[in-house]
Amino acid sequence: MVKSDIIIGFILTMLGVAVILHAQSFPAIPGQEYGAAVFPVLIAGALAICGILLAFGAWRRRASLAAVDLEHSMAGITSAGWTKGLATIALVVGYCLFADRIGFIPAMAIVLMVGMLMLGVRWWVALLVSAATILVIYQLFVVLMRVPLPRGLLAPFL
Amino acid sequence: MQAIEKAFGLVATPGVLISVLLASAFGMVIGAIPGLTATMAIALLVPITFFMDPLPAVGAMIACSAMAIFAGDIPSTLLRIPGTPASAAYTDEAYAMTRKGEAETALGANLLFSAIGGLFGTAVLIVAAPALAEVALRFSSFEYFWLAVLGLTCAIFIGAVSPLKGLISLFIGLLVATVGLNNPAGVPRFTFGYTELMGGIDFIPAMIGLFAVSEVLRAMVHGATDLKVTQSRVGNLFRNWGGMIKTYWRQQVRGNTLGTAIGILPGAGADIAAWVAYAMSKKFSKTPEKFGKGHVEGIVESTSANNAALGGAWVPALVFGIPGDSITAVVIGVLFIKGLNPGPTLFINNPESIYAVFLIFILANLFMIPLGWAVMKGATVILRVPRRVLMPLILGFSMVGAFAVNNTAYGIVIMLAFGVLGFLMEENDIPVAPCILGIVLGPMIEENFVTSMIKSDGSFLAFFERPIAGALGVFTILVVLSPLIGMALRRMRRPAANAA
Repeated sequence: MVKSDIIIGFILTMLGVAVILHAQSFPAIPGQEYGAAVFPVLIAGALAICGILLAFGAWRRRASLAAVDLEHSMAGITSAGWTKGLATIALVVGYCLFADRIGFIPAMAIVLMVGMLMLGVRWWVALLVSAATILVIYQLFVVLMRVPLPRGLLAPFL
Repeated sequence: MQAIEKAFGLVATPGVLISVLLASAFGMVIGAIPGLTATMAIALLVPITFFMDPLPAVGAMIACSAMAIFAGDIPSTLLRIPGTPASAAYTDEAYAMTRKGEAETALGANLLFSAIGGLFGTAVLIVAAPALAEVALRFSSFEYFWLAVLGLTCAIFIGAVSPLKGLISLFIGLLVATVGLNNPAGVPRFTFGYTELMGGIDFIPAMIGLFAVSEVLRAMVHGATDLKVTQSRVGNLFRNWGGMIKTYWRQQVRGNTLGTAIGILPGAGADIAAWVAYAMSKKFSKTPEKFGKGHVEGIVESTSANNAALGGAWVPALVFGIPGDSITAVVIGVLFIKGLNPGPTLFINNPESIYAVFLIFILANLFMIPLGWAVMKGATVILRVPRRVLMPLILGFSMVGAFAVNNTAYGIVIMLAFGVLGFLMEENDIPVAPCILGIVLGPMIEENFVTSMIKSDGSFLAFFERPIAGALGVFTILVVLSPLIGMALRRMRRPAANAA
């Protein structure tokens, strides 16, 4: 945890400082001392202090707890794990980008199928479950709640 | 009395009853699946309640959370994996009973005492909430500021492993809450020219991200393993109910009272109630040596406490708009969206809807017994649902739910961003619950803080001048200092022990 705590502490401190600097650009209300910047500056300052405390605390126990660092859960993630995690994020981003054009049904089918195949589900189980899920989502959100999920390519058939 | 009659009329409609029943079943199943928490059940349910009238929407969430907290006991007993964090306190005890072949007794006790605990918490809610509302009417911005700060402080300093990391999570949430136009000055903050950010960061997609998507990412990154079910059949659950009530009535009353009290404390909820109740049961037991080896006594007390806490948590939620835990935080957010702003005025302007909420509480705890029986009978099937099939489904429902809030892909983007944030936070042992409390309470704290500062002309002393505000302020500072005080006490004791 030592290394990661120092990094997180540093990031939080930078974030806090950045917010404080940015908040200086908020317009002040004439004749009023407590404007839009007061609260964010207070919070960001507190966050920066927490960041410093976190990093400092980790730095102080770096020698005694060096072995514990191995137990940090992110250290145990394999490169295949990272790939799958990033692929999941890519699936969601891809859905946002293309669902309008190709439609909710094929886009969601891709998300569900790829997601299940990545986790080692057999292809025919993944296919059946994806189809059933899309049917449920369609009935619940489109038919019952009238959410305008993008129709895309399938528009003529829906 | 007229309001109560009206409330019966409001609840006894097919729309309300059906949504409560369906939400109960949903919460029951999600809670019973290991790794899916009560908060996740709520996160997945909220987009759907978005399209309902206020009362069925709130009813659905009440029922769903009560069932999920209870159902967490099922995998906890059969697999030694707590379904929700609220069951963690007595997981080992219940599993020890399963290994002795007494799973039915443990599950039956969970079902019976959860329902009774829930009803007890509701009774307190019914009596205490309107009385407190009278007091709350006289509160000014100073009292509200302290109440909100006290809630957040308790959430971070009571029972937390690292208060510093809890604080970090909270400040991230409060910072997120400052985005947009929604501030006392009406100035766009941190929008960077994006019109979508003007309205602030929607808390529903953020919550779905923090509680559901982060879990999916974890399963993807660490791999999803399937579980082995040891006991394949669940027998008679109602065995010895009368006997247990008679033998353990003291434990039950204590668990109920303690759970409700902890629930009422802003910022502390079912999880903490269960831990404290289990420890207390052991302390006062005549046979403490039996604890941990499959003894039902501690289970009775803590399973009563966690469900009682749920009712208790609604007292500060309804009266002050201050959440007792992350579930009520979410519900408060939804109440605001529905125009039912929680606070003392709700009790004056809308008493029938408050009584209707109380009735739904009672209803939900009564539904719990037949539904709980059904889920326990089907537990071996539910527990076998493979996580690797489930996780992509949760992702799919999360995406559609986040989209449905405003019918824009922007909701999915927010969801994903908070999913990644939640994943990174939990991987580094930073809890996510304070973050969602911060997002919900942020606008309220800021408004009351800025109003108070303007009223007092910048004097921070004014925050302590009114009696209730002063007492709340001092109490908050004591909670903040409690780890330091504890440390100092230990230091003082250590040299003494060395000398002896």
